[in-house]
Order: sequence, then C-alpha cells, then structure tokens
Amino acid sequence: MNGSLALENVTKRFGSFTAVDNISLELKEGEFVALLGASGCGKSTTLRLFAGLETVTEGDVKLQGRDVTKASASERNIALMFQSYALYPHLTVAQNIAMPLKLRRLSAVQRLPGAHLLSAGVKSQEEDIQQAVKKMSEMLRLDQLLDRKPGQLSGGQQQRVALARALVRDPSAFLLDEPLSNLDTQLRAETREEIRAIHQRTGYPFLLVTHDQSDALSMADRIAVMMAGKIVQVGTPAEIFNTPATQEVATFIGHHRMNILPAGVAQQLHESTSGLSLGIRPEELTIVQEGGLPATVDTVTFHGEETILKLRGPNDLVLRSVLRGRSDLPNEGEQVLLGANRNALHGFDSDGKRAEIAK
Amino acid sequence: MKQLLLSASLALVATAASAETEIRVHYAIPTIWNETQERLAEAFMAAHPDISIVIDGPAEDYADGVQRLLRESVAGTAPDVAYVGLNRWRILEDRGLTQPLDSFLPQDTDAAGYTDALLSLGQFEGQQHALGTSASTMVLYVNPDLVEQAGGSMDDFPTDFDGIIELAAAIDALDDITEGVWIGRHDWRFQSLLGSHGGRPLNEDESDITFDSSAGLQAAALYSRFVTEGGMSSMSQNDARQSFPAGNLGMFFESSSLLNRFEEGSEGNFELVVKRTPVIAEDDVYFPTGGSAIVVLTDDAERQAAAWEYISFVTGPEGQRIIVETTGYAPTNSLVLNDLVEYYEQNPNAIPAHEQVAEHAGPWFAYPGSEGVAVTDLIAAALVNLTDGADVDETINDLAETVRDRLDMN
Amino acid sequence: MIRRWTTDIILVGPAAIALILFIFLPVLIVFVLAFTDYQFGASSANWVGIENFADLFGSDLGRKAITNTLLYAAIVIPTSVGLGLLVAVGLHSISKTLPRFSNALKAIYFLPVAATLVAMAVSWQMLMHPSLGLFNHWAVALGFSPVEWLTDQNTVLYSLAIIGVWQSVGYNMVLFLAGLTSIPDTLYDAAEVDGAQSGWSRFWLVTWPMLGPTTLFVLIVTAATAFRVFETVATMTRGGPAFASDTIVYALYREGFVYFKAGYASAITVVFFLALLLLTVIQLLVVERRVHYR
Repeated sequence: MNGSLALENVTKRFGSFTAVDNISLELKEGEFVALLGASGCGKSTTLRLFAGLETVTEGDVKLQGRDVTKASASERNIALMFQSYALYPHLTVAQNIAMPLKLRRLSAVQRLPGAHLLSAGVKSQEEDIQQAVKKMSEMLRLDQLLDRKPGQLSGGQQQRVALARALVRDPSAFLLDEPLSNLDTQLRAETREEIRAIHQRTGYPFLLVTHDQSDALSMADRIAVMMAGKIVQVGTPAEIFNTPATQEVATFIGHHRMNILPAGVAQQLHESTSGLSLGIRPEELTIVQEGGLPATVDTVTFHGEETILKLRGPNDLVLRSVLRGRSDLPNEGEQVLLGANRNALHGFDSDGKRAEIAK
Repeated sequence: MKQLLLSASLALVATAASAETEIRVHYAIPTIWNETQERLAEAFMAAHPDISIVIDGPAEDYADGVQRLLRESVAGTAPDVAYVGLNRWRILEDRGLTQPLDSFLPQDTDAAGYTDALLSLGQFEGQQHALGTSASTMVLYVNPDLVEQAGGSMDDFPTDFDGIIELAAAIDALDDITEGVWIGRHDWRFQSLLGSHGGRPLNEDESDITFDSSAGLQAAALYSRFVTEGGMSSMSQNDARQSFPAGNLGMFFESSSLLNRFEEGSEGNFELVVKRTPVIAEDDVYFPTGGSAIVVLTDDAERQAAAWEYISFVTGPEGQRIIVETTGYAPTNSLVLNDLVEYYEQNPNAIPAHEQVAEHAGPWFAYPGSEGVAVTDLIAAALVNLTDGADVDETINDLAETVRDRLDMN
Repeated sequence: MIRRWTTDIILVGPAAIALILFIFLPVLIVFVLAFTDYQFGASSANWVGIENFADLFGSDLGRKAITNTLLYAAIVIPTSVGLGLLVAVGLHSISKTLPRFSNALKAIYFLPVAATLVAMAVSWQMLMHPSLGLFNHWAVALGFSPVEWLTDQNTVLYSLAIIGVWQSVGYNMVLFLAGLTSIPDTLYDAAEVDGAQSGWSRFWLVTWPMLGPTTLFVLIVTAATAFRVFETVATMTRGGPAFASDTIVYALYREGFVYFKAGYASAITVVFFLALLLLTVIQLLVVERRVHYR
C-alpha cells in the first residue's frame, strides 16, 4: 500500500561540508510535494536521502511509520526518475521497463537467458512481467517503441520510458529529479499535465525536485523551499507566493524578482512601516498620479502582453515595474511617481523574517 | 709536451700519406674481442704502414654477425675481411661470398705453423676458404672442493665417463642444491662426445648421416646416463654458467673459451681445475673446434692482396700471441706455442685446453645445404628429449632419419 | 580545376609514395617470396608454389609453433583481460575512499607496461632460476618441490604465459579504468533503485555491458600482443627446450634470420598476417554489433 515517507531531523555531511542541515519533511499519502531550491542548495541530496541512495549522518527516515533509516534503496521500494533518465543503453525499451520487476521477482539464476525454457515457474513469472510491461507501455504510448534501444529515442520518448520503468512496480513513493529540465517549452507543458495525471491516477506520494518555481507552483500540492541545506518554508503554492516566510523566499519565488525597498526608502511609500523593509512584486508596483515614490524611468522594454520598466528611485535604488495592457507608457528619462496597493506589500524585519505591517 | 704532440701529428700525417690501401674488418662478440681487435690492428699497421685497418662496429654474436654480412653483401657494402664463427663460414661459402685462399698460402704450410688439422677447419671440397684465428674445444671444468667433499680425489681423477658419472652421483648426493655434472644439450657438445668415441656426424663426402653409428649411440647414451645415473638437472646453459662459478655445480663440460670468465667468477669461491674431455676410442678421435675463422670477402685483387697481409699477420705467431693472451682461446698456429711458456706458467689451466686442440682439433661439422643450421636445432631438441627420458636408440635413429630427410640424403 | 587537382597530388603525393614504397611494396615482396625457396643472401631463387605453406602446416615443427601460440594466447588473453578488469574494478571502488593507496597500486600495476621487456626478462630469468631463483626458494619453503620454470618442456609455455599476463594486466587495467570512469553514476543509482541489491548484480546490469566497447578494444589489443609473443621467447628460452616454447613469430625469426630461409619465413609471415587480419575482422564484425548500443 502507498504510504507516507518522512525525513525527521535529518542532517547529511560530506566531510566538513553540511549538505543538508537538520531538516524534516513528510510526504503524506497521495500528496504531491515539490522541493524547490536553487542549484547547490541540497535538494538533490535530500532526494537521495529519501530514496536511500545516501545514508543520513543524523536523524531518521520513516516509511509508513516504520524506521527505514538503514534500509537500502531497493528495500524502501521507492521509484526514482533521474534527471538524465539513466536508462540502460544496452537494453531495449521493453527490457528497461521490465528490469525492476525482473530484479525483484526472479533470482540471479532465474534471470539467466533461457531459464524460462527450463522452469515453468520462471516462465509464468516472465509472462506476468511481459503483461505488466505491455500495460505500462500502452498507458505511456510506448507500445510502438518496445524493441528500440534508448539511443534511438527522442528526449521526450526517453522520459516516458523512464516514467514507465519507475511506475511499473507499484512503488511506495515516487521521486522525480528535475524531470522537465531537459525538455523544450511545448513538451514541458504537456509533460506537466501528464505527470499530474499520473499522480492523480496512481495516488502515490510524489516528490518533485526542481529549481524551476513555475514547475513547483503549477504541479505541487505543497512546496518545500530549500536554501543552503535548510528548509525555509513549507506551504501550498498560494501560501508560498502570497506570504513568503523570508525575504529570500520572497525574492526567489515569482516570475519577476520582487522589489525590495530598504527601511528608510520604504517609509516614503508607506509611513507605517517603521523599521521594516518592504517587498513589492513588480506586477504590483504601478505609476500613480500623486503621493508615491519618485523615480526616473531608465528603460522601457516591451514584451507583448507586458512591458517592463526599469526605474531609479531614491538613493539610486533600482526598481522594476511590470505593466499590463497599458497604452499610456512613460518615456525613458521621464520622472514618475510609484505606488502600490497596501495589501500587496510584504514587510520584512532586519533579519529578513516576514513581519506584519501595522495598520 | 709540445714536441710530443707535434711528433704525434706528424706521425698521423705520415700514416695517412703512405696508407694506400684501406681494409675494412668485421668482427663479433665485442665483450671478448674488443681489446684484442684494437691491439691486432695497431700492431699490424705498425708493421705495414701502407695498409690501414678500419674496424666496423662489432656484431653482438656470430649469428648476428653472419646476418649482417649477408645483408651487407646484398647491399654491396660488405667489408673486405671478416671474423666469423668456425661453424658459420660455410653459410657465406654456400652463397659464393668467400674468396679461396689457396693461391695466397705459402708452399710449406707446416713451416708457417699451419698444421693440416688446423687448416682442415677452413676447408671445403679441397679449397681453403677460411683460416682459424682462435680455437676452443670442450673441456671439463671441475670444482675440486666438491669433488673432495664427495670423497673423490683430484690426483686420482677419473679419465673415463663411467668414473665421471660415478663421481657426479656422489657430488649430487651432497645436498639439495649441489649438482654433480652438467653438459649442454647442443650440437657442438654432442659432436665432442661423438668424436671422443671415434664417431663422425657425417661421412667423408657429406652424402650421409653417420651419428647413428654405435659410437653415436654411445655418445647419445651419455646424455641419458648423466641424468639417470649422475643426477643431471634440466637447467639451461645460462643457468649452468651461473651455477658453476657460484660453487653449486661439481663438473661442467663447456667450451675452453670460457676459462677466463669462470676463473674470474669463481675467484674467492674455489680454485677451479680444467681437465681434458675423456677420450674413449683408440683411433679417429677428434674434438670439434669452436672459435673464429677469418675469411676474405672482397673480390678486388689489390685489396685481396692487402687482406692477405692482414690475415697472415693475425694467423701468424705475433697475431696469435696477442689473441691467446687477451682472450684465453687456444692458438691456431703451431709456431706460437713455443712463445707462450710464460703465459702457461701463469695460466696452468690453459694447458689441457691447448694440448687438446693441438692433439685432436677437428672441424666443427656443419650440415650442408639450406637446412644446415635448422638441423642443429633438431639435434639439440632430440638431446633434450634424451635427458627427459626418451629411449636412446629410438630417438637417435628417428633423428638421423629426420635429418637425412631434411638434407635430401634419401 | 586542374590546379586544384595538382595541389591535391602535391599534398597527398609524398605520403602516398612513402606508403607504397615502405609498406605496400615490401608486403608485396613478402607475398611473392612466400612462394619461393629464396635464401637470405642468395642471388637467385626457385618458384616452389605452396610448398612453404604445406611445410608450415604439415611439419611437426610448424604445427608445434602454431599450437604453442594458440595455447599461449588461450591462457594469456582471458587471464589478462579478466585480471585487468578485476584490478580495475577494485582500484576504481577504493579510489574514492583511499585515493593515495589506489594511485600507488595503479602505478605498480602499470610498471611492467612502461618497463623495457628485455630488461624485465632478465629479472624474470633470475626469479625463475631453478636453484638460485626466488620462486623455487618460496616453493621449497612452502613445502612444494622446485619447478623447472623455463627448462621443463611441459612447464615452459605456462611460465611464459605468466610473464605475458603480468606484462599486459597493467595496460588492460588502465583501459578498463578509463572505461569505468565514463560510466555515469546515475546508472548505478538506477540499478540500486530498480532492485539490484548486490554489487554482483549491479556489475552484470551496468558495469559489464557499459564496458562493452572497452572490453572489445582490450580484447583486440591483448589478442594482437599475445599472438605476436616474441621478446620473452627470444630472450629467455629461444623457443626451447626442444621447441616447447616455439611460437609463430619466434619461428618466423628463427627460420628467416637464424636459418636464413627467407622464403619459408615469408610464408609464415603471410599466414600470420592473414590470421590476424581474419581475427580482427571477425572481432569487429561479430562483437562490434553487440557492444555499441545504437
């Protein structure tokens, strides 16, 4: 049965370097969690700790409440899809998909070529496996490609083989390492939907490891944001986007990087923000007629649906504003006043922690 | 000092001016011959200022040397004279490369010190193609310490093979490491045993193999007996040449040319003694002679004349003395023996070797034709099989048939 | 157009002429000589048809050289490839935990490849010396009877095979190490996740197939070296005792340069050349298809 998988107070060190620093993260039954972070933040190590490919330095790993800290990857029965797909290049698509079942159900002797000719038991096992491969390949539209070698497939086809190989054996959880990073934009959108669909159909706990916030925001039920070996925030995509726990998370999340106004400048925009710095997403920073923050337009870049203004505020503070569907755009070099809706402001204290803005 | 330099350079100029003919000389085995060759050339040029000697870079061994001579003669750059192995000049003769020496030889060869036995080393079908320059025969090197430990006596040393085998067994029984007797499984050593029994490998006109005679079978049986009765091991020639000076081998049938090397090697271990190879037959005894011969390769009459001057010098008393004193080989000129009294006083072990050459020197028979060298390897292989336990009569009869077949004698 | 053509000729010409003059022409001459009784240094030769070839395959000596070479290769090829792989896998697996130790061992294993074989042969001769050698000292100390390593007809070929293996293991190891480093780590992760729990099953699932191209190359190189065995024979045994260690290339040398039978030696050369060519073609055609996964 599917179940929850959890890291509890886990630390992983490589020599003197701490890759993962005392984190706890749980994948609940049927849940889709994204582990989001920049490269080098420790998210891949976290994935390997979940999978059992690395052993923890401190802390516990629990699978359905059971302690599996010392258990190997195959004992944990966790499926993992690698960023590079890691298909066996010498095996056909069908053999690649069948491999997890063969390794689990047949002994080394029974795996020898020709063993099914000698033993009826092996023969029926092999037939079962062929059935499972067939079912899986039909589901992922691979049935025309079963006799090909991975080298003869496109990137998208290879990824579907990797998916099939991961899913063929009813795993206790499914971990995906940057599954979309090798795909072009169009295929990416299709694959997002496909992975979502598979998640809904199978109900396994999914852990998606990605550096791409739009993947995380669009697919996950919950997102864990990881920075420098620590998990800094866990929440739904909306929570992460709307109430980032720290200034770092706030600037990391969002298609356009959030503007940060230091404490002194911030007061020119809103008087009640004494001591706090203010974060404003560029989409929320608009040109107002009066009572705003004075700034000079440096550049105006037209992107179709939106136009990006690069502005210089007080103390040469660089700010960005994204304007949508506006025809009355300012000119470069023009002086403007900037304002924002009070609800769109994020306050951060001097440690970078989220702080409430006084009414 | 200045004057010395001046006179030296004057001498050089004088040599260069008067040297009308230049003779190129080839030789092999620089480890033995290097110093000898230089001294020979110097002494010769001092006596013959009109001829200058140029020595080619030496070949590693006689086999290598003959190869090189063949290559050079194909390319037309062969030297004028060459020192070659006594069993190898026939390879050059076979290809028409050697020039007959008969017209150069003095009328009274005996008076010049060329005995008939020594001349026979370089004759083929009545023509003189080569002259021996150094000679060696197979002698018995003995470690007297081991002989006495085994209860033998150097004063009452056995003079036949039965006695030697008996003594060998006693030495062999001393301990695990010590060996009693050893002899190389090799054509030349077999011919030596054969000659001791009065046999010959070939008949007079070289039309048939004769080592399957009763003398041959007796000689071959010795290989078998050395192993079964004397405890001879199957080590290699090189192993034995290390074992003997190291004091692990009691008696060693080897070429007399190795005397210097063994004396140096055994120094501090024991005082080696050389004994003559036992002579079994009463008549027709001969010992095949190893060593080198000199041949003329140039076909230019003027150079041939100059080459002969050089040859008669190195085969004459003065040259022979240099060769004997620097290499330890036996001389190939009888006149020189009288000059060597002092040498023999200092090198008593050289006496049995030189006496043996003087009394029983005979040709190292080379098998005729293109398969000549190849069959010597077949003979060696048969001797290995004998020491590995093969039946003597069967092995030697089979070998004789095979050799006849290879040499087209059937 | 013509100018370009002349430029091409000028560029390609010298190399082509050198190739024809120094490779093709001599090979052609060897092929012709193989059908004659030419003696090295002789001024003429007779056409003898296939007699030389009949001699090689029909005579005891020729057949012995062939079977000796095959037996030698049959020992050296699998042993040195297998040991090379074993050592490489071992060193590769400790290279992360004990890098210095692993590097030192690599150097030691590679030493025989870098050393001059003739000089090494002298050392081996001393080790294998029947009474003074280290091997027999050990053998006696361990209670075995001493072995005539190089002078016993029944042992000598195996002794040479040991040296042949010693000589090529290091080279094979280096090639396999290079092959091992190019295997992506994720394949091992994938195998582990898929249920290959033991190192043994991961080896057969990932390492062995991924080393396919390397193994093919190592096999071809080792086979070529094994079939060409010469230096050890020439320096240590001269084909003896009683031709027990006579191999094809040594027989070629012996017949051509000791016996001066250039025609017969050419015939051996031709047979050897064709055999190696055939072997290489078979290896490339049959095995190549199974090791490159396209």
